[in-house]
Amino acid sequence: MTAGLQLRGVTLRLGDGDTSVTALDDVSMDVAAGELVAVVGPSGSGKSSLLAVAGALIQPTTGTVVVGTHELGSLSDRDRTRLRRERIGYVFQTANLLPSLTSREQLLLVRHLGGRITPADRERADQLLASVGMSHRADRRPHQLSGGERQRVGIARALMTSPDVLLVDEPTSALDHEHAHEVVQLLADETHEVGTAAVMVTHDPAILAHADRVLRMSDGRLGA
Amino acid sequence: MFLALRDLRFARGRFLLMGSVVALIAVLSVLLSGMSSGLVSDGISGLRALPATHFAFESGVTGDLFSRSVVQRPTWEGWAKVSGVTASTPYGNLLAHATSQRGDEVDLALFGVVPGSFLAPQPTQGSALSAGSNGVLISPKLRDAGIRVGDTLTVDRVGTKLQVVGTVGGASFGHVGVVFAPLTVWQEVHYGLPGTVPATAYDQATAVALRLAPGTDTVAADQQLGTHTITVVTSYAASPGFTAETATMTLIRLFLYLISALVVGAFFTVWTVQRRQEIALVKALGGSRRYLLRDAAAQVLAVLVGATVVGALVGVGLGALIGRGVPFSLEAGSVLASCLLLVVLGLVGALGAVRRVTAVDPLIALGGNR
Repeated sequence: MTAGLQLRGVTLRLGDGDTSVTALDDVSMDVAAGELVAVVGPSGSGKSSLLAVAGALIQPTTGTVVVGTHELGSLSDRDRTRLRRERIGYVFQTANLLPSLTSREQLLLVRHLGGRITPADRERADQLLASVGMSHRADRRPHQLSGGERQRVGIARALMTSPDVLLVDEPTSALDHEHAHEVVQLLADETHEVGTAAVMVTHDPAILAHADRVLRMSDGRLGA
Repeated sequence: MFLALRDLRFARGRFLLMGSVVALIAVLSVLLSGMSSGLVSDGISGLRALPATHFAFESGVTGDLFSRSVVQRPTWEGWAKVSGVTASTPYGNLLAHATSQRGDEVDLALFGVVPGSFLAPQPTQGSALSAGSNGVLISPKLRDAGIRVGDTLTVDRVGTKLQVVGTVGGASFGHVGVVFAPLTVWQEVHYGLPGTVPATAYDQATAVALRLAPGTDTVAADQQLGTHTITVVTSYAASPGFTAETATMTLIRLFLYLISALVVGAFFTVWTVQRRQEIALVKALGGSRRYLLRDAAAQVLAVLVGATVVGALVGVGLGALIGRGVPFSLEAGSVLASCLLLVVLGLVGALGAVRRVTAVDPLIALGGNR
């Protein structure tokens, strides 16, 4: 396995001294390229911490995280930011779009963060919007979109850079039953097609059927 | 600028409101700059127009040098021999009140100069000053008051007659128009009493006007001749009301810039706090510190420059409508300087807000579900 996501003995302690909380406790996992792994568990079980660590937003107290071929602990702050930009895609709980940008611009921003927007980038943005069924909403801003539409734009944005790792945080929490299935099916399809290693955190058992593998999390520990 | 410009467009109402405040401050600052220049010009343009570099005043005199200082003939004759002096001539300065033969009353600043000396002005109309005559040259301010070439002005109390023989370019001193007279005529008015003037009156002037080669040492000559030499520019402060007027204007403008910087700073601080979630998102997506800083700074700059330019243009437009009764003159240099100052101080004010951008934790983007 060359690309993908690998966690080895990852422990994350938040806060210090007496108020210290162990958010992740010796977590190890492997996600292969093209695989969608669902992580379920109750609130506060450490699911979001798992995403934060895998997504280079926070450094684990101990253990190693490998994204593609990069070991996160060995990178500088600047290189971790670059890695987030180029190798990691996020889909957030609420789509988390920028209010002033149109759907197409949400996707293009990701490229602009790394430099210039090329005509090829515009083409890819339009392709991705088409693949999530949002071509007709490409020039709308978030306040003109429904919750499901926003989440679709969010997914397209996460795929914009063809990331090695796709991290998905409660993608259905703002959606009704029908839209939830649509969105997760879309995620599964894109994961398989693009060949990215996807981790989806959720506490909605109804959508687990779409995942290739399901892991359970409680009190910061991971189990099958 | 990708985000900054789109945010400007999206939140145009808020930015327009803030921009209007900056623009109004720019209007006010341009108008004040015009009034400052106008007041300065009204106060000392007569001195500024003199081709001298220095004045040697009577030593020991302080404050209102132009009305208090008196120098004697040996002094100006002595100065003519000092090395480094390329030109020197006695100069007389006196504020007076006069009446024309038609009964027009005017205030004037009587400048006494030796006809043919380097201080004697070229008339823009009519004939030049000549020794032994009572012919004088008037500046436009007196023309505005109804005085014409050919008129006769009678100086109050002393009764000296001044024959207007020509005009000179714009010059005023102490907010009244300058009248150039031959030094002997000035000495008769300066003596201050009607009737026969004693011979000693013709040995007096206000100061010695000098043209000095660069680097000339005036200290030794000052000690020897009992004078106190200062540059013409330094002497502005000794003209009536000049220091008080410029200090007041400077204070008002200083506060204006300060207010502008604080308003801009406060606005962008609130704006940044409001955008915390969005900034966190951009960081989580891999936006570097530099990218965010540049974007935020570009936004501040765009708003400041846009608003200042609009405000300055409105200010210049309004300035053109101001009548001649008010001392007002716009100088490109000082308008540009005050605009630049507005922009720079606004940037400084917004610096704190822009720096906050880097302190936002990208983890916020994941939401509070941890």
